[in-house]
Amino acid sequence: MKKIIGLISIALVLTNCKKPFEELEYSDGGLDFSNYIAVGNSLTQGYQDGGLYEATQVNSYPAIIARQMKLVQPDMPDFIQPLAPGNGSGYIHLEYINDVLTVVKPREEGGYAEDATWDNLIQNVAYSNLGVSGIKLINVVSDPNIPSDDLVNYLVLRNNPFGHRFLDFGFSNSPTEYLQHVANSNPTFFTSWLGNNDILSFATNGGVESEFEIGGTNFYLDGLSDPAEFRKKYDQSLDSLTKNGAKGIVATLPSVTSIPYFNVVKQADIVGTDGVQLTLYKADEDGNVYEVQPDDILLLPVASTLLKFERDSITADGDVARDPDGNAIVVYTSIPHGVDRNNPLKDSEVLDPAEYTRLQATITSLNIELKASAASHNIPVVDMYTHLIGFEAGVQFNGIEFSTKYIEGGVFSLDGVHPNSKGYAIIANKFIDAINENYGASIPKANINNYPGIVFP
Amino acid sequence: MRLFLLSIAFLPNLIFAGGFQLNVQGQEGLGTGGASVARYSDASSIFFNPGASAFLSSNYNFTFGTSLIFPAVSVQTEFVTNEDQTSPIATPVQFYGAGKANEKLTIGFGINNQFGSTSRFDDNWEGKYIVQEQSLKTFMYQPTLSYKIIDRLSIGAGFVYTTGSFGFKKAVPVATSEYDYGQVNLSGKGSATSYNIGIQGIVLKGDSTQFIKQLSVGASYRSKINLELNNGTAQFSNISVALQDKFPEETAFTASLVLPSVISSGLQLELKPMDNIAITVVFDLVRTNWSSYDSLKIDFKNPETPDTSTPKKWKDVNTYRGGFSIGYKEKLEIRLGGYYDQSPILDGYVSPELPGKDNLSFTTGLGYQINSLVSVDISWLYSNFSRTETNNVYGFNGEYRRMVNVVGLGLNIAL
Repeated sequence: MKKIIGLISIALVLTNCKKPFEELEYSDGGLDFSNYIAVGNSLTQGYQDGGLYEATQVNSYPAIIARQMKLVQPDMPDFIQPLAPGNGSGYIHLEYINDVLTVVKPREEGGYAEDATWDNLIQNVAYSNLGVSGIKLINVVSDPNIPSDDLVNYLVLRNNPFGHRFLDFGFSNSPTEYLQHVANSNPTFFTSWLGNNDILSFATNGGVESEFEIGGTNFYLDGLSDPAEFRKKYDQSLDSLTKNGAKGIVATLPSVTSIPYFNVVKQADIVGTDGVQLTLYKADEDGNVYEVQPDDILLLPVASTLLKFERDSITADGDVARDPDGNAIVVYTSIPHGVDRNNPLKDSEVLDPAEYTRLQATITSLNIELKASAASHNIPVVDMYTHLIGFEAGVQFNGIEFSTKYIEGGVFSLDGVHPNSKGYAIIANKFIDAINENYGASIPKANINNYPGIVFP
Repeated sequence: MRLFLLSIAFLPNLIFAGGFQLNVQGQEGLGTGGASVARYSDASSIFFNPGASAFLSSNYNFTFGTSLIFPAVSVQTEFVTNEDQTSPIATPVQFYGAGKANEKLTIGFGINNQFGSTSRFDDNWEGKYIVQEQSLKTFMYQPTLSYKIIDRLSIGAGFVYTTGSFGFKKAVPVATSEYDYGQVNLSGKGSATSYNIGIQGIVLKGDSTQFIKQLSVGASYRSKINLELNNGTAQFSNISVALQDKFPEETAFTASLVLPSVISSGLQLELKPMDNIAITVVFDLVRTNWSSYDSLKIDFKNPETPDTSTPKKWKDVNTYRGGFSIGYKEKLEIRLGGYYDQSPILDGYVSPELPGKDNLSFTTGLGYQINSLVSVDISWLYSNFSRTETNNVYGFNGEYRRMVNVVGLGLNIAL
């Protein structure tokens, strides 16, 4: 009997024999996160699925970074974000309709339209996350040498639905510029990912720049920013951020054509019932119609307009008719869209090789300026340009393959442009890596697989 | 908007990592580092070297044994400090029986579990998309003949019938509003036939007064076992309604699992330094042909479910086993040994369910002769390593600590 008890106790001891790891040691590297400020655009604000809404904003990359910083500095105050309650501005979701996985837009039947609170939402508080969806770097501060620059910046920001709800931009005769808000925030540490819209909106609009004129000067709503202007204003943004000696980190502009928006609709997939690839037609800005060439890039919206018996309404003077919100008015036609000379793909639905080349050249120049500006301020740079390209071929992570593919790639949200929460966690980790590397800190990285990705119906 | 295409890959591949070969087929040999090929003191030679069974001294020999394997695997990733496997204790068993038909011919039968393991993690652990639970159980049944050609040389052969069952569970990376991830549960059974052959010789024999009593050598070969799982069942659960054509509630699958061939050679040196004291030194060199095994290729019956396969990245490895025992008055024997085991897994392919590493393990044991018929053996094996490794197939970076304790108990009856 004693022997049996002896054996059982040996067995119990052995069962509990483990060599667990000690807790990891964290370090802030001497950095002060007591007032961490994030500046940037939609990516920073936590925009995804074509909208701004609280449920996913809580997983903006700055919020994730702040969460990880708090593990290192537990006394760090709350990171305050410009949250849009409920459905916020409305967002895209997936439904299973008639046995088909369907992408439902906010205003479509069954869509998640904007929240009841959205229209009258004004929340002006001191935010830690100063991200404003849609903002361009060249609009953050005005250049006295550019005529009407202050007015243009004011109008652009005042009409930005994601800006004026959270930040007070003053009045047209006494505007409060975005950089003023940045300077007022007095960061002890910052991340800045400004500049994406200086190239992105040109790309997502198929190179249509939407020219407008103020006081005799021409501006482009969706143009490519001028590198010299970009450099000057980027310098100013870093002056504001570092005025109290704050440390921080900035990120480069990604190679935007890697994102699903430019890769979902492939010409080879557009085939007739006989399996033969269809000839597609596109219009240029003057209304001339051409055959779509193999090196033309079709943009994501083509997925919902192609072969539909719809086209834009054209006014008597040949322009696209628009509703008061500025959206193109669509009318019905007997001719399917995209496959007939008489209802060609719109200029804004196609990024042609010339536009692509201009785009890539601008990304390269702006990133050169950005890096030089950061270097002159002694601020390290996160290379998001290369990081995003790395995802094109697919990246294995803990048993999942992440890629830039639409939906199945797992890291981009349903709008095909912005990451989902997993994607934002990957971005946060890239920032954390760079902070750790450059400042000798050891902030733990976020656990990517704990963040939600695509949600299927 | 309607989508043109949607093809979500069913990732990742399934790999049965190395380390599921159980080397606990005889309790006496376990005490001396597992070196057993040239040994014939009990009926476990049916497994280790059928050629040696003809040298068994008694007319009838029976050996029963079991081991308790206590695995402890801890994993650390850059995100989680410590995650322990929750694997259960494994209890492989052995039975061997041998009887002399005449002076030359010995007939034997063996049952054991040569391959098997259950590795389990908490369902929601860091690597859930790689594996949540994996198990393999095998039973080998081996009728054996051993024939003494001349006084100092014998050969033997066994027919091996194997039954195996396999289970695998992992998370599927598709979320719904209700479930953060789906799950797949694979289970299958199969059987296979193979063989086991061996040869044993005594190269040196001293008389009772000499220091060197005897030197024996042996060699054996166990052929590979091709376990066909023809009626596997795959069950997908918590899957979005939109993806159920791809991941149905249930579909059949077929798969084949190749268990590697093993070629072994060994020697046993028996010394008699003084009266009442016997020293035995054993050494084995074992080569396991893991390159014949690559992966578990799964072929789903449902055509929409993507089949899985894995690149071949395994290598043949050697295990060096050695040890010695000191016997007193043919009553008590104390054993000590160890073995150096090469991991068949190439760098970049180590997987968290069964992390492996080239590794030195230690064993010890005790034998006690209760009376002229019955003896017992106890053994203890200790293996311990740490390894930091990136798995390129899964993109999984981990630091592993694996500690295995095995205690075993054996009972021998010689008539």
